[in-house]
Amino acid sequence: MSTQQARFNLHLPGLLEVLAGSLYSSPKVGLRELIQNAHDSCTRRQLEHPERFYRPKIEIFTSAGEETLTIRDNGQGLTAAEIRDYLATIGRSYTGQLKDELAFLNPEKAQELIGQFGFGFLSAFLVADQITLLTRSVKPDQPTLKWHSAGGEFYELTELEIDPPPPVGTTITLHVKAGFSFVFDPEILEETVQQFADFLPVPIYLNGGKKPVNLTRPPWEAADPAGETLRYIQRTFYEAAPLCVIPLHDQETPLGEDDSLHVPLQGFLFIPPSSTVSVHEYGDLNVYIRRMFICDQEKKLLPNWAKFVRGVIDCPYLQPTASRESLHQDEFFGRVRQAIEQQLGQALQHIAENNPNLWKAIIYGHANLITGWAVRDDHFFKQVANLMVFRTSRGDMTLPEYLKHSPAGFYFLTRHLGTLQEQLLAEGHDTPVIDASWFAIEPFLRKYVAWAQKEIQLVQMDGDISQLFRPEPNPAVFAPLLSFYQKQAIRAQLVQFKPTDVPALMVYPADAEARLETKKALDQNELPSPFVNFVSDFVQQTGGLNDEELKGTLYLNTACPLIQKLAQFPPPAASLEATLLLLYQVARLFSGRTLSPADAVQAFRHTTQALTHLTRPTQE
Amino acid sequence: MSIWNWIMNYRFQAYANKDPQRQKMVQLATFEALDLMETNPDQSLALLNEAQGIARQLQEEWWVMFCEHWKLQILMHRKKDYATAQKLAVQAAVEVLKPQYASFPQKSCLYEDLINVYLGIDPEGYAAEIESALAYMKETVTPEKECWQCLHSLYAEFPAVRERWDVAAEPTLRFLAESQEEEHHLMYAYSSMCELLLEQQNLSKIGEFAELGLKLAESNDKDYMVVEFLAWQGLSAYQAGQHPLAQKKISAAEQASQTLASVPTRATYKAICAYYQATGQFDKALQTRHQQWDKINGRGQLMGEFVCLREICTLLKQLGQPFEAEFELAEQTAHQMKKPQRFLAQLATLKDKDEG
Repeated sequence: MSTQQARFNLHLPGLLEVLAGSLYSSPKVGLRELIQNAHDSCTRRQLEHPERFYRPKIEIFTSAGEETLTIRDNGQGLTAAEIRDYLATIGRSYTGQLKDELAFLNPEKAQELIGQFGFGFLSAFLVADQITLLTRSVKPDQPTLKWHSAGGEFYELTELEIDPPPPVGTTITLHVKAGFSFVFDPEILEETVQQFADFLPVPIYLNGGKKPVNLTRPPWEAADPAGETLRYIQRTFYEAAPLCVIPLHDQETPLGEDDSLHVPLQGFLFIPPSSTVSVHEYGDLNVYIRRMFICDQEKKLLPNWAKFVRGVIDCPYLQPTASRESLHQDEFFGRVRQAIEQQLGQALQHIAENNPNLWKAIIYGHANLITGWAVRDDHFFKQVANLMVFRTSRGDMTLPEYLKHSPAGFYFLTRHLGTLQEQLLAEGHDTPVIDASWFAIEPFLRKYVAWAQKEIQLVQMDGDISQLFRPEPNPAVFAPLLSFYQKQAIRAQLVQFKPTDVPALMVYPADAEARLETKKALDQNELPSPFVNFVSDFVQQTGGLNDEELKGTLYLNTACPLIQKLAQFPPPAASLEATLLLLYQVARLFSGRTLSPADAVQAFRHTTQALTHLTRPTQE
Repeated sequence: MSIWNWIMNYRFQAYANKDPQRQKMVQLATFEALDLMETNPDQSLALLNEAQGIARQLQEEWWVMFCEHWKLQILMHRKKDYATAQKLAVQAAVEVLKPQYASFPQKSCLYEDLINVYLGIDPEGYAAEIESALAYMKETVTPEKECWQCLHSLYAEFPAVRERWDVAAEPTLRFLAESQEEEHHLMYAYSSMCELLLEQQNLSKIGEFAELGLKLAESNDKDYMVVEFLAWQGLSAYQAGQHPLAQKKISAAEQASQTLASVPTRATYKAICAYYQATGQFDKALQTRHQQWDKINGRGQLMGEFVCLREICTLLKQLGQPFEAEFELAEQTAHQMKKPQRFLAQLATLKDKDEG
């Protein structure tokens, strides 16, 4: 038996298609890879051939007419051997190799190098159908070389004789594919360069501009980090005035009982003034690794509850995926997340304790998000439970402040502001009422009651409001009034409630209108027959449809002086009847429930008749 | 007019007319609310309520009902709150009878929601009604409509929730065939296939569908379906003799289910329990059923509650532990259904064997 060893055969065009077409999410990534290669070339020159007066730089030129994009660096260039061994060998990276070699000798410099996997160069074929590279190595006696590829299996390498030879470095010219002309738009190009290379130390110039378009350092390394960070937030996040900025720093995170892990961390978090719509979630970070942009809107590095926070971080512990557009969610990812959560938690605690106005602004600006997430996260809930500010009928207050007004219970409305009738009853109770129209507020209040371990009652004012009525102890006194309403087929009850200025309120069962419509649909056979049982069974299960009940119940307030006067010192019968009808119709209209046109006509007719009677001239 | 054409046209008009109220309504009801369905269903519901408030002010009745449909979807499929869903679905079915909804493109969806609600609540008790309602829908919905696949998913779900595996194969395969062009439904069809294969004891095939389903669940960001397919993969790996991989997949499903914003699917619990039962870890299967019970108890899903309690009783019995309280509760739950006979008989068998 004989064994043969054989090489894999690579079909380069197919591989290019897979790598360039499937690995990266956007053609812009091609530009990022080329800029980062240029940056690495400059860094390698500083490392391997240090020169006192060397000033690294990258220049980018575009020519819409020739459909070319050119990236020129004054890095260390390439020799023919390096082109063959690295540029033309997929999966082998000069920079990656150098980084490994330097990891022990010069770890700081090693960290400045970006390249890793050895196929980033291929991503240029995302936007280009042809690539030409002109290079001269910094190494002595090296010729000028021209490399050309159209993405096929073969490339051309030519030694050029140019006198005088071009400066050391590499110039890559891309012949841009049709459909990728966005690179010729100066604004898009500038934004793209800034997005990918803002923090890279090598200055990048566009189309002969005198000022670099990238910052060349992160704002936290500037002489005035606070001011520079604010300017950066304005420029990058379009946020003119964040409520606060929280600088991040290295952090020890616990590892078991006696050990800890040092997490190197730089960057900042900030809190925008408000969520752009009432519920817009942030909770995202722009992530850099050793100044290299990885991704924006990374949502898993911040704790779930921190949806009102944004920021920028740079952490060498994070591991990019092969496309370098996202992160491996490994153990270090979890550690970094832990470090950020710890620092954010401490900062918010500090603000809450030492800067109440700022805390109030944060709570106001992001109230919906904060209550929503506090309900789901016990730890976060404890941090904000006593600090959250709620809108009430007596102004904004925290729950401890509220309990000073109403120690026995939280009174709340789940409909925004509630109906006027509900608000009136609340005010009559002489307690502030919490606006709980946001879905999370009621669960927040319930959680608070459990957490505070106090006897606090929860009273929903827009549920069954009859819970706020007390029975009349001496109903016989008011029997004639009830008797009148019974004759008119109006359901009425005698109760006492506050405010006593209100003589009567009309109360309907929940969903009265919907239930009436359901009844009509069943009575008139409007539903498709297979669905009738579904609906009728539901109606039966929920207590049936009592016509009388659905018309509502008039609650006469026997604590009201007018009602007492009508019962004890009744006016002439006609005036009494007119007054009672008027009270009924006013209560109906005041209830805020939908009236049918026929109901409304009847209500106005009764009202007009009653007023006509009451205002008729006296016969003296 | 298709639903999404209607939405896109409406949105375009709102922007063309520079109408901020309508823009905000559409933004909230579609992009904002639907984006949050997986990660924060409560907030998603709140957004739909907010959008409905605007729609009512603007008298945009179709939009009120559009939001209602999605609220129902969240209540049924993310929160498993059938009690609240039943009320909304009944009201919606009555509301769309009004003339202004005559050509409302989502009218069929609301009727399908009502069927779906009863599939969740008491599919056995309402079997005849569900059957005729499905037949009615089949007459009114045509294959080019979006709800065609939804209808077939209901056909597949009908025998599955009733545990009528003898008649489940045809509608499940039909659902699979009808969903080939539509990723979202295809993912659910794969889930139905996994459950059917488990019941048919054809476990070697589950892995194939679980893998396909997992890919779709991941690419569609359906975290709760990712959890389900991981569980199916675990079960399938165990059957293939890949025990460490099986354990890893089941652990991953269990861990992920802890952080899910949605209530895991019925099939998730079923797959995890099947794994634990196959490995003889009855205590863990019991623990899983208890977790399920905590999630579904008191939310109107009578059939789901009964099945969960019946399985708890079975597991307690296998573990040699008393189960009187659970048995009593299962009986009570069965009696709340319209046709409890079959389920009471199942319980009686359990008791008989116990006494035997």
